[in-house]
Amino acid sequence: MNEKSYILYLEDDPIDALRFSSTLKKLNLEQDVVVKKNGEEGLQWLEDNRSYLPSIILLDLNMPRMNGIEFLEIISDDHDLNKIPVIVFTTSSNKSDVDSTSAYKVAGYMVKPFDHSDYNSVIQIITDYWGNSKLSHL
Amino acid sequence: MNILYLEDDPIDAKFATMTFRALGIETFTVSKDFESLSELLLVNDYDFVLTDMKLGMDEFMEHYHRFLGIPYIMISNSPRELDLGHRPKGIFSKPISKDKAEAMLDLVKSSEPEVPNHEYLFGITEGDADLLKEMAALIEVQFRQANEGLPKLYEEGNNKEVISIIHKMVGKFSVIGMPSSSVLFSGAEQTLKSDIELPRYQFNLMLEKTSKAITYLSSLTAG
Repeated sequence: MNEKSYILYLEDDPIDALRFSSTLKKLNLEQDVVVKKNGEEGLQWLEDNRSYLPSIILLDLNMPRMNGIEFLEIISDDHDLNKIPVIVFTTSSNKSDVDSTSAYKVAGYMVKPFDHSDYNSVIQIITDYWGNSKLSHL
Repeated sequence: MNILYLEDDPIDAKFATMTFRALGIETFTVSKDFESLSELLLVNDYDFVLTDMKLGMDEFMEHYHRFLGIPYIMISNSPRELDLGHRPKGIFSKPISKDKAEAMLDLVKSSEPEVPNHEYLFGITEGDADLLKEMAALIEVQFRQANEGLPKLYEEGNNKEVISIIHKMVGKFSVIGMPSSSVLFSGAEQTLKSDIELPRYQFNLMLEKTSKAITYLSSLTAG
């Protein structure tokens, strides 16, 4: 992979992953995306690519083997990984999930809309904001 | 048609029973509290439920989640207090006169059975035929796996796995234009997360809806 910035998307549902990448393409947002199926695979990727970390991490919460909260707990203790902005991107609007993730100081919590135009808007918002933020390298 | 009426006032209940009987509805059951409501829902199939709003919408909605998919109509003399986010088929005041009962029956009969439609999936894929097929195929695989795996997990009482599977299906039903099924599955998820047993009737309805979705998705991926 070249040294272009990229998004690490932790998502176990292949449909949601496909939807995300096809939306980026549709919106002409040229952004590399690496998709991993759960927190464990996400951590392994980050370990293997310490010199080429993602600009932002999009994080689903409900994943097998290692869910989003467990992933956040581990990276929060890592001096390099805890600097990567993490945006929770989930179907859950439960207060308990929101509260759990805010304890790890995530950069955002976005609920995946079902409606396609709302979904496109959310993706545009994420990339517009983080494209201008100095905290990421998008 | 089989109707369930949640009403604790015996006079209102009697009046409604007579009104519907005069319209030819013989199977009209009255439940006076939520406990008997739950029991009745477990063993019978109802075409719709009438509920007296004064019995408490929050508690009703909690029980409603256990039989989502059945339309309900609210009876209230104070409709302004209604939170329209609850989305009943209709709201009528008491007493339930003949013309109101006829209107209720028309409302329920005119509701088309839920039919998957292309709008959402086409919206996501914006007419990209290859992407549409790919996405439909992925959803179909997920739903087939659910249909095969869920019965065994349900019988075993493996609620954690059941929740995990149905959680993912909630959004997919919305994506393929079956929002009532999405709500049905969401309700089942909440029921199980509350450590409440999921009624078999509701579980079988969920499998039916899944099969319907699979048939639709197969039609998109075929050819």
